Amino acid sequence: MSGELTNRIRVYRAEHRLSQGALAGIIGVSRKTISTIEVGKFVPSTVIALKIARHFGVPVEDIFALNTE
Amino acid sequence: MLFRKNETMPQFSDRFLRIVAFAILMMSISYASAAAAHFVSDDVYDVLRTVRKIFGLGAAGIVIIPFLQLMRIRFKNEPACKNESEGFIADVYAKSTINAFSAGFVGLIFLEPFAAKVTPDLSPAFFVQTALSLMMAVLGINFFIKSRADDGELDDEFDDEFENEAGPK
Repeated sequence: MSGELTNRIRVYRAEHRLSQGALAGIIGVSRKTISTIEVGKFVPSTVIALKIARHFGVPVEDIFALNTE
Repeated sequence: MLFRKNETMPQFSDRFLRIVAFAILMMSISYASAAAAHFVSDDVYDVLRTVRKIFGLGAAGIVIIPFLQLMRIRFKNEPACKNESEGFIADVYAKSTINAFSAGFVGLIFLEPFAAKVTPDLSPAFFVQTALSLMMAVLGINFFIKSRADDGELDDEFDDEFENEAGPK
């Protein structure tokens, strides 16, 4: 199975009024890491994906999805 | 306390990797100078030797202080380093090292018949220096090309929006 990983981090950040830098600080990564995840340039590790999901209080599938189209 | 004001551990880690990659590029030039020195006259040899020393010492010089800083942080506050290997820059660095190894491998395969037939009198040091120079150049160049990825410049606008909405505290 192959597909592009899409994410809704930007949407959740907007809902929580959180900048990339602030989210990066919470997760424990650099802002560059968050921004490259958002634009789909970097696929995060499971740990980072789970930390992001946990921070927003949603299942990881709500934030990350595999675009199989 | 880190090098720069308000710098977090992941930011320091990213900056450290950039410094290491730059030092590796300098080492690549140093080894290339050493390899080229096998073919030149005595006058040019002295110049290349000086170039090798300058770039070699320069590479060590720019890495040593951040390296000591990193070691100090690791020994003092290990939990702060937990995520440093999971970020974008660390990932790019890891991939660049794989590419560098592959380039070195392919380079040595091409150099091997060259060594046996064309230049039997050349010192083995030349081939080692050439392979090291190639690998380090591939690592450094690969790292800097990939790490300057377009990462959504719109974020600054987004941040300002939040700050303006929040208003003065």
